[in-house]
Amino acid sequence: MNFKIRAARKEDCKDISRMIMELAVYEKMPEQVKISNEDLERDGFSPNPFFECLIAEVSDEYMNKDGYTIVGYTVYFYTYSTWKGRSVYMEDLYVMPEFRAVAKRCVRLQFSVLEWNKPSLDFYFTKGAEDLTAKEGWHFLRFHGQALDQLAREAPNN
Amino acid sequence: MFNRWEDLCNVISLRPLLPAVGLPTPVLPTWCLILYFLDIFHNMDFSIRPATLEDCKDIARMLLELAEYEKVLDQIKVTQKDLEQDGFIKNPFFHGIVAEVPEEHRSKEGHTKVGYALYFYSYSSWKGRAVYMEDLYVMPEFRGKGIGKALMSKVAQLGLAAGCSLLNFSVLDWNKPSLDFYLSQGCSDITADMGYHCMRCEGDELEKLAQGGT
Repeated sequence: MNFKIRAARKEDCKDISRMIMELAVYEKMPEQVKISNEDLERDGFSPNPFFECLIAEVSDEYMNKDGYTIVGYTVYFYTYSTWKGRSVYMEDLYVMPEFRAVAKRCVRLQFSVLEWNKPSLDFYFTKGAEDLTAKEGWHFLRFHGQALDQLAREAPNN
Repeated sequence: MFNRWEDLCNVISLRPLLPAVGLPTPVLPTWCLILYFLDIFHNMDFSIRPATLEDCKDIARMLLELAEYEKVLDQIKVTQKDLEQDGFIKNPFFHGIVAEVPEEHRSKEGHTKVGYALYFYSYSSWKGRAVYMEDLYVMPEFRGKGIGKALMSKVAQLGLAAGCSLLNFSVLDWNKPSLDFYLSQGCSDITADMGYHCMRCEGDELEKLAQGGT
């Protein structure tokens, strides 16, 4: 099957939004998706974007039953490791089910996987990824909602 | 002098007692002075400000101190020069804030830059704009004075100002003092609660992966 990988454009945000929801459904957390395609347009296609995005597109003769030709995406952004330097974090990687089984001088690629998602974990291991949570004991922590507001209120005023 | 007495009253909550005692503010007993200076020591003056290019030397120093604490000193490849190149360009890879104390409180080696936080903006495809705190560090002799909390709060404040709804960071599971502190401040352990594992590809494996791309 012919497909191409290209940089996402603003017009793709509707499809990206659709696939974000499909991925969230697969991860059993669709209620956690709070952003819309307008948020993606604003945050990904401004002079200092918060993320970058690549799209996988098939030609018209391979469009799926609903008529989509944009069949996969990855959202990523550049980060920094005070140990190793420039890094890239892959926030999402997704290919629609029926289309599966197909640098800025960064030194590492990081991403997260749910521990029960064995097919993805196995795939990533075959590509040479390491599970740092299992290997080194790293845990992701997060402040959000009221706890984040409360923390920010306690910042010094200078 | 009058301002210091005002500070004293506020700091040790004597103000409500003053009318009862019948003493004008500037006239207070010696025990108040003792308490005042003890309290000044506990609430050491410090300031939090954005990092500048000149701070990279101290950030590099403290980064190594943090790495030693995390038992990963041999893994550090970033130098002062890398920090200067990567943090102070048109589209920086990170932002930094520094905690500084006045000269009279400098460390035994003479340092006045005693803590830092390093962060960058990121994105959640579920929640939108986010901020990731890569490092948070206070030199051991300056801990217990609210500096770490002030640095973290500042990152939260800057993140909210930029429209972020999440402050994310990572902690090693054996680092119980830090984990306990963060949990006491209201954060969630996403790995424990939701089962997310942090994955990484680097070095030869990253090169191989990149070569496999179209």
